[in-house]
Amino acid sequence: MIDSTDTTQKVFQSFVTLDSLFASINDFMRLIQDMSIPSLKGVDKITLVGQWSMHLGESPIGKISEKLILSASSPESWMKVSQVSIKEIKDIQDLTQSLLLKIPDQFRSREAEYIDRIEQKDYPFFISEVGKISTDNLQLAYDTADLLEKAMNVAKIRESDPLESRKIEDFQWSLIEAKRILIELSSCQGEYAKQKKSKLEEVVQDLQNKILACEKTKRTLRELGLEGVTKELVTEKLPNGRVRLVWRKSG
Amino acid sequence: MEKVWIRKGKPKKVFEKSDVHYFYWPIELGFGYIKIEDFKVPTFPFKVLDYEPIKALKHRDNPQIVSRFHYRVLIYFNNPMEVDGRNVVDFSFGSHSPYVISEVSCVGSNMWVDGMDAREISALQFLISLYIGIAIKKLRSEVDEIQDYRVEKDNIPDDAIFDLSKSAAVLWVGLYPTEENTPDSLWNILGQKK
Repeated sequence: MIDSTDTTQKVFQSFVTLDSLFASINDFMRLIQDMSIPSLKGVDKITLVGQWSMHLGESPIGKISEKLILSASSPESWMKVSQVSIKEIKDIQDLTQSLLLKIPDQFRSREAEYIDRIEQKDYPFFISEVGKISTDNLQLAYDTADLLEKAMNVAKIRESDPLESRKIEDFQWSLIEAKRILIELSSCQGEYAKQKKSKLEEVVQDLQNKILACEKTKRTLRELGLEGVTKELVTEKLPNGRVRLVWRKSG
Repeated sequence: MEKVWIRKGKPKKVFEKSDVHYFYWPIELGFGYIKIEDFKVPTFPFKVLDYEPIKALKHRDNPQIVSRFHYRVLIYFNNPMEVDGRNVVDFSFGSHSPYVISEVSCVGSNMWVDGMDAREISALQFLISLYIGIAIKKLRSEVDEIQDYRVEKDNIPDDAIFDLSKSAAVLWVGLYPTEENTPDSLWNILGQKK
C-alpha cells in the first residue's frame, strides 16, 4: 500500500523531470488523455491524477493513478529532484489546489454526461465510445465498459417509455457481457486470450450494430418528416414484459 | 393464393409457397452513412436476400392481409381497400417494408418487449411511425398506379418461411382488433402478445 500523501508530493517534485517522466509513463498518459479533459495540459493532468489517487481510493481511476504514481517513482524520474525550489513546489501546490476543486465534478459529470447523452439518443457518440472497449489497454477498456454500463443502468430506470427502456437494457446486457470477457481476458494468455479477444470484438461489433440500427431509424424518420408522429401513441405496460401501443386517428 | 396488385416497389421475382406470396429482392437497400464526430461511417445493406411475404385471409367475407417485417414483427392489415377486385401492396416505403393500402382509423401493436432486442424494437418503432405517417397523409399512398406480377414456384429458404408463431410483436393497421373482426388464428397470437 502506498502512502498517497507522500507519493503525491513526490509527483509534484517530479515536474522538473517531466520529459523523462513522460517517457516512462507513456501508456498512462494515453489513459489520461482518454479521460477527456481537453482543457488540461500534460503537467496539469499528472497533478490531477496524483490527487485522484487520494480522493478516489479504490475506484477504477484511483487504481489507474496508483499505477501512474508507481511509474513516476522510477529512478530516472527523480534525477533532478534536488533542483526543485520551494517556490516552485508552492506554485505547483497552488495549481493543484485549484484543480482539486474541480476533480469531484469532473469525475461525477462523466457519468451524468453519459446519462444525458443516452436520454438525448446521441447514438453516434456511443458508437464511438463503445469502440474504446476493443482497445488493447484492458484497464481503459474495462473502465469504459463499466462507466457506460452504469450510466445505462441509471438511464434505463429513468426512462418512462418501456420500449426505450428495453433498448437501453439490451445495450446494457452487451456491456455486461463485454465486462465479463474483459475480466477473463485479464487473467489468460496465448491462444485462449486470442479467442477471448475475438469474442470481445464480436460483442463490441454487435453492440455497435444495434446502436447503429437505432441511429438509422432516427435519421430515416427525420428525413421522412416523421419525427414525433408517435406522440399520440398510447403506451400501456402489461404483465410479463408485454406492451401495447395504440394510435387512433383523430377527427 | 389470390394475387394482389403492386403499387410501387417492383420485386425481382415472386414465389408462391403454402398459400403465401413471397416478394423477393436479391439485396435490401441500406447504403448510406452516419456521421460520428468528424468521420463519415458507411452503412451497408444488412440483408443479401429479402423475402417479403404476403398472405391473404378472409374473415366473415372481409379480406385481410398479413405480412412480416424484420422476421419477428407480424403485420396485420385488417381493413384493406380493394382496387379492381384485389388488395394493393406498396413496397416502396423504407427497405421494402410492405404496406397494404387500407382505410385506417387505428394503428397499434401488442408485443413481448422483453423478448425483443434493440434492433427489433427500433424496426417496430420505425414501422409504426411510417404507418401513422401514411394514415395522417404525411406520406402519399394514393393508388395512382398498379402493377401485376408473375408467380413462380420455387423453394424458399427455411429461415425465410413465413411462420406466424415466431412473431415477437403484432402490428395491426386499420381497425382496433376485436374477437369479432379477427380470425381465430390471429386472435390467438394477439392474445399471446397481450
